[in-house]
Amino acid sequence: MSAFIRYQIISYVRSLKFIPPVVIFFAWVFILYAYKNVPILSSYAVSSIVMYLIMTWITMSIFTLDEESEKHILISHLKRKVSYLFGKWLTILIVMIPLLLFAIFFPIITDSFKGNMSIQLYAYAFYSHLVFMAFGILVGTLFSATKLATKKYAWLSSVFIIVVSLASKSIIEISLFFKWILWVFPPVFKVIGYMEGEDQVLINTPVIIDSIFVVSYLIIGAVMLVPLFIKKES
Amino acid sequence: MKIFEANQACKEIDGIMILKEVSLSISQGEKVAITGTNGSGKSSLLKLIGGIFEETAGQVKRSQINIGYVPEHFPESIRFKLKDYLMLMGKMTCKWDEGILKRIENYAELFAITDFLTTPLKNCSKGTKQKAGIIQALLKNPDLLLLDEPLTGLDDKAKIELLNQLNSLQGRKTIIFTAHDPLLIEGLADRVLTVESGRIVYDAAKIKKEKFRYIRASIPTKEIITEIPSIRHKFIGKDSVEIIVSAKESDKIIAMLLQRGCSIFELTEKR
Repeated sequence: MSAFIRYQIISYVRSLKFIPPVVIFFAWVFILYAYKNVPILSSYAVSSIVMYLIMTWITMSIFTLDEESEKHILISHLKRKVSYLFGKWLTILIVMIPLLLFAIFFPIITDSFKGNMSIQLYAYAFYSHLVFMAFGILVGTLFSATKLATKKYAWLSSVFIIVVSLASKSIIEISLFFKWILWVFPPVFKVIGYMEGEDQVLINTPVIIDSIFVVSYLIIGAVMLVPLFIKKES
Repeated sequence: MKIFEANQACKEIDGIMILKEVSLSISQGEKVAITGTNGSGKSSLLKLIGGIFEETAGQVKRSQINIGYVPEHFPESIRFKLKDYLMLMGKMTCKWDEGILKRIENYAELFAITDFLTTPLKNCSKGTKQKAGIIQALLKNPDLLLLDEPLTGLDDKAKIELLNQLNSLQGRKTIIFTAHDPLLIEGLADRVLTVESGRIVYDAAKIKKEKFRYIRASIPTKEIITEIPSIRHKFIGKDSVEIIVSAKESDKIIAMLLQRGCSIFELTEKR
């Protein structure tokens, strides 16, 4: 698997497809912290949302990196089709690490926050970024590694999912009926809902319940993507 | 041991039935040629056998064996130098690094691409890429080798080298290949399947493999060669030619060449 991941990372870097999402991500973070004394949690909420967009983009780029015949050769070497999917996910996670560290530590290094970081704030910042990255990976995988990838509007559909999930709170306010439809979309407000207002994280029952829901959503989403990927590759 | 069995297997892609009611059994060690016209379903059948495609109807049984796959067209956009690519592909299969480089160098020498090992694959010719595709599959040391039109883009000498390599593979390796070129079918296959409109319309064992010979000779003029019947040839420069001829005809051809003032440089028997 390590040779496959090395193959994918080198191929991705040499394709130069990483430049647009990474440049936009860095630019966004620079602009976000252009002002000093910004609130901690809401700033991290914004960078988490940016991560969501960028990771969807990166995931789709990495899944569309290989030509069809190249993919067949790689799968023949990996022996199992599912190893190809897991290898791609591991590649994305490795690509994600520097972006995650930059998003978390850039404002701290540049002393942009008005308050001080605590262990709880660090924990929630990592949690929110990781969850939003995972949302991005799920959405990106759905539209680039399943049968939906062959549809004409795959990229547009992934953007639609992102926009609807980010606007879900406002959509539900219009009509409660949408609440029963929008639960299938990534539950972003179960994470950023706790990042408004004061810069403190309360570890209370609603936070824990919502965190369990989010983690369960991610696990179920990832598990469901495996047969969808296998179906596409059959 | 059966390595593949299909019973009334069908394959549908985007609403089009590309393989229809395929019933087939392949045993270990067989050398199977799949022939047919363009679009008949040869490559799809090869992919079904290798597990790249799964059946949409019917039953298919595959044994768990090591498979090497060579696509018809080697990927155009691989972003590695030839040696780096083969090293990574070798490491994907082998747990140990030792010996991979040596094997790559041996295969490169055999297929005459040593000079291109440090060349980016994007800049390599079609033939060199095709050879890289074959080497990556051989590096797996596969029990089942699937080759989709393996001679595409190869020059005559490389075709013969490949044929020689495939014939010399040790053990009871199974080789299944699609081909139009009679050279590979005659030289390698012991069973021929013909596919038409997604159905197997012919499946028979070949009784005898014809041997052939490779002759390299100097010639006074190129016109001499055109007078000689039943040969495949390729001119090397102004005064040299490579000839492939069936073994039973070779003595007659050599005599004709000598009578016409040619000199024989090399004579090699191939299967």
